[in-house]
Amino acid sequence: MQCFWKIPLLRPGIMDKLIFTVHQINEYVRGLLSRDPILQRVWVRGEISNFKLHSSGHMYFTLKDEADRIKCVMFRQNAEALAFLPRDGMKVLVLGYVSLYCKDGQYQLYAEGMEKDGIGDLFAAFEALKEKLRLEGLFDSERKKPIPRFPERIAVVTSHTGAAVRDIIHVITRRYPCAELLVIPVLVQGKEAPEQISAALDYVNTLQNIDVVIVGRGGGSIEELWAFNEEIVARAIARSRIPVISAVGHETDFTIADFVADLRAPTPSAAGELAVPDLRELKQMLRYYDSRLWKSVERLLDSRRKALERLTESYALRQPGLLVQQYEQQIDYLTERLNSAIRMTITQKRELLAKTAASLEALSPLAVLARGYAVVTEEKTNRLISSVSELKVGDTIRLHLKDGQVLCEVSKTGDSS
Amino acid sequence: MERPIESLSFEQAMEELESIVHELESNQLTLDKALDLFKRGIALSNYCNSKLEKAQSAVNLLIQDQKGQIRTIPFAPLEEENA
Repeated sequence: MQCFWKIPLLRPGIMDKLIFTVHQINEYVRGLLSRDPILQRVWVRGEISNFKLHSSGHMYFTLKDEADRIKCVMFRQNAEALAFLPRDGMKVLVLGYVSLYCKDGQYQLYAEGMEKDGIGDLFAAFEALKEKLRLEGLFDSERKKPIPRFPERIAVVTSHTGAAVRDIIHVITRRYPCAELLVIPVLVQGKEAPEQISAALDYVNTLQNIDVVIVGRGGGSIEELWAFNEEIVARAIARSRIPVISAVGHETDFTIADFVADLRAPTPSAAGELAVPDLRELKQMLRYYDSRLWKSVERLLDSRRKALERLTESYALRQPGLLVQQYEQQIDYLTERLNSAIRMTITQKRELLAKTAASLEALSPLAVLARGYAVVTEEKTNRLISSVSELKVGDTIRLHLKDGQVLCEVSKTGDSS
Repeated sequence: MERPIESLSFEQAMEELESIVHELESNQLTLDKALDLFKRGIALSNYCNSKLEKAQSAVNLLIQDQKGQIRTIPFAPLEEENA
C-alpha cells in the first residue's frame, strides 16, 4: 500500500492543502475500518434483498432494516458452508467484518457466517409488550400476593400429558400429600394455547377453596414457549385473585408470564417445591414446638417449686417445729414439777396424818383407859358422866375399864377432897 | 380467642401454636395462665399432626364432555417410558 504521507509537493502555493489520490483516500478509510475492533467481527441483523448467487460461488446481497441498507458479499468458501440457501425477504443474522471495497469506494459487510433470524420479530414484540405491561405496573412487587404456607387445594394449568404435569404432581405428592391437586388441561403451544390458558385461569378463579394455581409447561424452544409471552395470558395472570406461580420451561427462560406472576419457579418441579411445605420438615417443626411447650412448663414449675422451697426453709416456717419442741420441753418440765409437788404434798399430808393420828391416839379414850382411867356412864340413861353433880346416892353407874365393865351403886358423892 | 380447634384451618392452628410457644417462653405468665396455654398448645399440636397424617393425596383432572358439562375425574399422569 502506498504510504499516504509521500505526497508529491507540486508547487509552493499548494503546500497548505493535503491532497490525496482516490486510491490513497480509499486506502486510508480502509485502514481506519480495519483498525476498529467492533467492525472486525460483528453480527448484523437484517432482511436480505437483491440476492445474487454468482457462478463463481460468491454471494452478493443487500441487508436492510426499516430505514437503511448495507451491501454484503459472502465468498464461496463461506457460502458453501451455509446450511441453507439465502433468499430475498429472509430475516438473517450475518457475522462478518466491515471493510471498504476500493474499486467502487463502497464499504461492505464481508459475510463469513449467516443464521436465520426467525425470532427477530418475536423478540421485538416481546420487548414492546414487556415495556407496556411494566409501565402499567403489572410487574410491581407490591402487586404480588403471598403464596399460602399450607395450601389445601392446588390448581395446575398445563398440558395433562408430558413431563411438566408429571413432575409437579410427583413433587407435591411426595412433599405434602395432604394437598389436593386439580389439573386443568390446556394446550401449551400453538395458536389456541394463549386463549385456553387464559380461560383456564379465569375458570380456576370461579372455583371455591383453591389456594394457589400453578401455570406452566416444560422446556422448549422460544417459539414453543411463546404462548406465555402473549398479552392475553399475562392479563389473565394479573387479574387472578388466587396467587399464581409461573413455571415455564427451563431455568434461564424468562417469559412475560414469569414477570406478572406472584412467584416465578424456574422449572415445574421447582414450582412444586415452592407451592407446598415439606411434610417431614413440618412434622419436625411440630415436634420441636411440642418440646418447647413441655420445656417452658417444666421451667415454670421448677422455678415455682424452688421459690416454694426457699420459703419453707426460711425461719418463719421452721418456727412451728421449734416452738413445738420448746413447748414440749416446757410441758415435760412442768409435769415433772407437778409430780414432785404432788409427791411432796402427799408426803407432807401423810406426815401430818401420822402426827394427827398419833395425837388422836393419845387422846383416844381407849388410851386413857389403858392408862388406868375409867369411863363412867349412868346406867338408866347411858349418859356419860363427867361430873359428881350429875349423880346422886343410889344411882346405878357402869364403870368401863380397859378390860371390862363394873356395875356399881353410888353410896356417897362429894368433891375431890 | 378460644375458637374450637376443629374449626381452624391447618394454617390458623399452626399460627396459634407458634404464638403460644412464644408466649410461654416469655416467662411473664402466672402459673394458671401458663398451664391453660400449655393445654391449648398441646391440643393444637395434636390437631396439626392429625391433619398431616391424612395420607392420601387426591389428584383430579378437569374434563368437559361434549355437552359442555364440566366435571372432575381422578388423574394419574402417564409415567415416562424412558428416562
